[in-house]
Amino acid sequence: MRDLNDEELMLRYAAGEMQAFEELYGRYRAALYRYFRRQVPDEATANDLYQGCWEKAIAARSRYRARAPFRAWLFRIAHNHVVDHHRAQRPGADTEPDQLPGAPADPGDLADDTSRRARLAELLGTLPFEQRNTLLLHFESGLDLEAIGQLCGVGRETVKSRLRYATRKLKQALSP
Amino acid sequence: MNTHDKDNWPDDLEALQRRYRSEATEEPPELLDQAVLNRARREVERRATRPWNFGWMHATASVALVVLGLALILELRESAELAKDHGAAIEARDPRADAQSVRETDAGAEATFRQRKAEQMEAEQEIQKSVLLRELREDAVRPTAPSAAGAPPVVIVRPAPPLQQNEPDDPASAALGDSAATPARGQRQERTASAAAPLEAEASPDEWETDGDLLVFSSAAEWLDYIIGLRQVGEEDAWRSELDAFRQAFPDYPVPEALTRPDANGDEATAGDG
Repeated sequence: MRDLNDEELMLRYAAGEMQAFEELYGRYRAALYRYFRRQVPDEATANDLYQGCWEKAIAARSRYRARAPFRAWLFRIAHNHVVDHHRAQRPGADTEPDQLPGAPADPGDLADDTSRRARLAELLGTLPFEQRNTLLLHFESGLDLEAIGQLCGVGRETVKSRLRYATRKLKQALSP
Repeated sequence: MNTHDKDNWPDDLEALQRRYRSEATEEPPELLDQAVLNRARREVERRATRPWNFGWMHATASVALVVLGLALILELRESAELAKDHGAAIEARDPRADAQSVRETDAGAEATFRQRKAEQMEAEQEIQKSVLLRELREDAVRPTAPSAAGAPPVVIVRPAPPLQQNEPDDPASAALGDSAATPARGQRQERTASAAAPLEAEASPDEWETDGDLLVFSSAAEWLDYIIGLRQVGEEDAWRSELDAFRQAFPDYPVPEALTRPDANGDEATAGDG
């Protein structure tokens, strides 16, 4: 099973092989979990989103045709799941929240004695949703700029722009 | 603004990514893993318990639906074409011609019916007439005693007409008996002066029915003589009715002037045609 690529494993699972899914799940469980953990402020919500995303993938296994890489397929489900969650939290809103609830408005407001892990996590929360989501997809999915753009429904240059602005902002916040 | 930083944002992004990977170590809790894996396992087991595969059933059902749909469409098109052809044939016919032909047919049938009906009525009348004549002949042809001269039997039997003069000593009755209308042959039954007295044949009374007044004439001339006699005695109604009956029985027989000349009142002897 370890020698099989992601697409073959998913097809085997669609055919009924449970071991194929276990292997596939082991490869993406952590990245997908962190993606959801950085999108919402609390762990419980993140767990719900994470489990819901996998359930959607399991239900859609019969429709998987391996025309696109499995990771792109999986993170597309995750991205849409997050967007649906934010829209459900803010009915009537046309856009996702720029910042996560509870995140400091200014990166400079972070305490100096906060651990580096916490500071980076909190800094990500200060970014607008489009920049945060694009950055997390770049960090966790391993997809190129073109694939991220297709997943988000934007062009490659838009993805670059979002990444540039996010990088600049975080760099300024992290610089001493 | 540091343009170098602007141009090196990919390097900055890579640096951020390295930091993020070093810091982001979160993993899903074990319970969450078990929940996801159980869910995946249930789906596999649920599909394995199905006795059939819906994949080929879907394809088969789709093909069957398409075939049925095409058959239905073809059937409807054929029905529409047949109805169209039949409707065109009906529309091509002239309704006026149809009505005219119907009227002509009805008129011809009616005329034929009437003709047949008239023929039937004529035949029935002929039959009735023949029956009446036969009955008359049967009534008239009675076995009579042959005359001395071998005269033919009596052929005319008539019910005696009601007479106005009923007295036995009536001079008219006496005149009647003395009239010249005496049959030369055969027998003759005359009504007596008494209306109640039935006429009796002079010969073979047993061979005659005496259920009413009867007149027996051996010939048409004898009958005419009797009628003349009735006129001479003044039996207007009687001789007129007898003359009518005579003319119906013998329409071509010449009637003597004694019965055709007008009477004292100027009325001619008339009779029904026939």
